Amino acid sequence: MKTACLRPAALLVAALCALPAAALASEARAWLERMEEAVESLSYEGTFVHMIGNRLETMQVIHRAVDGQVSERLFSRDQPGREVLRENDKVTCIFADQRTVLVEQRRGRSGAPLLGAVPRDASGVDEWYEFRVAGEDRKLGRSARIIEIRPRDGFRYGHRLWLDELTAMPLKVQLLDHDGVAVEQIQFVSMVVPAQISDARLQPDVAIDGFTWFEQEAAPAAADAEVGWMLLDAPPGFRLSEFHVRTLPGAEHPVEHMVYSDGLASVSVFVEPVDATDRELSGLSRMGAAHAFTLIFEGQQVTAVGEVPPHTVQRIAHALRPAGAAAP
Amino acid sequence: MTANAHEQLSALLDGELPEAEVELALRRATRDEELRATALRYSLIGDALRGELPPGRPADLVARVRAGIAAGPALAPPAAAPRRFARAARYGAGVAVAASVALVALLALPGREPVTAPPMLSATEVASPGPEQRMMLQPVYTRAAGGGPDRLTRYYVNHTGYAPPVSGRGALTRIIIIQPEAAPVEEVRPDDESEAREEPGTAR
Repeated sequence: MKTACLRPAALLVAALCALPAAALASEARAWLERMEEAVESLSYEGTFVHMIGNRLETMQVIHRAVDGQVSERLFSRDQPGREVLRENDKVTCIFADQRTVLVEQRRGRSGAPLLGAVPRDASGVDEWYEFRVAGEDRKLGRSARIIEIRPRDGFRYGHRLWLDELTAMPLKVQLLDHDGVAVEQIQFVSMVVPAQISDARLQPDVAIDGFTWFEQEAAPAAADAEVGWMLLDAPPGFRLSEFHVRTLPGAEHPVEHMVYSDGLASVSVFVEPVDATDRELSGLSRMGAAHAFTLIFEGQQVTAVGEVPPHTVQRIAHALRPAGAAAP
Repeated sequence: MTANAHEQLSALLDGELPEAEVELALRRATRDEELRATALRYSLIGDALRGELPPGRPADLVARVRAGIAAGPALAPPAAAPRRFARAARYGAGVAVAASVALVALLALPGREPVTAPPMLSATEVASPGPEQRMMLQPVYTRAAGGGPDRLTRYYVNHTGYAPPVSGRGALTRIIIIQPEAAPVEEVRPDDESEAREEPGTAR
């Protein structure tokens, strides 16, 4: 009898404890959804400082959304010649130093903005991350809400975002390791919403005459191709989300490309025959906040790339086995 | 580097520089390596003083930052404004030196109503470009001899399309790839060495 009386009380206590956390998480998710909408549907020009490790660079983003047509330009103010342009789903990268232009068509990802947002399909992501509203602050003289996405283990990075109270535009964004140390930071130093953004503002400053162009081939027909690989003892939470066999722009041969995602972070695994000239690729490398780990497995070069801690790409590369392989 | 440049940089990083001065400050920061190094310190200092440093920071960081402030007048922006003082007061003794000039907000974002279609940005006011005006880039030729980016660079670039979309790091990574550093971007800390060797930017 006594326990029967206690149980509702215990449940109530549990509910009272659980509710604020759940409410905070859903409030945080709601903020991120607002941000996603804002960065894509508003037109704006912003200058931001991008910091990685001991490197600092000033960048500019110009985003125009008119009648559902989105044009975007992201470039470095410090090093002219580094530009990424987006026209709806088409992304153009200018490599001025290599006199090269890469053009990619994003399929199935309705034009992820250069200053993007959270994935729409984020189911299950709560298992690996904790979402919370972490407080209020001021940035750029505006009221900002601090949203935190904390990883629950050391295999993925977290995020801390300062979102404008009124518009949900990100004013400052940090990528955090498991200890909460910022590995990368983006901070706006100015942001304006012009009444009109001219076409000229969206044109690259680089004269691209005579550059070599590489265009990504049309959507691969291998959509229903069998995935020939699986992960054995991979970091928890990373599941296959996409698979393609295709020739990347600028490459000579097709490559198998698998994307493993935990709902927020993703790691690409590329598999292609070993090329003698690329042998020196083996091991870990870093590009911005992304890491890559390459190894040779049964005559195939396996490279895992992702904006995750170095040991995550390393473990995923080592975990790759032919499909159907038995556990050791 | 003048104290003024430092002060300007501090205000820039706090987003509190008047719009008219932003251009100059950015040009300075672009030209001046020392100023850019200082900017990094400022950012850390600012984070520390605002209590934004995550718990995982090295334990002595705040102490070192404070020591740095105490040691060098160059790290102590001289001017102060009421709002910054208010903030300084919140964070306790020794923090007032970080007070800088509180200035005009640069942000001119529209208000909440409506979020997705700010009045000043209605479709009628922003003329939609004609098809012929949009993105005049046209390929000259493709697949020329001489090769493009190397294999690892292709991987990095391609993966950015799948990178964590929060805040568009994918696109930023592309920018970084586009003109990689000749030298390693980051120093390898002693405790990182066991993980693997670090390579510089990969595009050659």
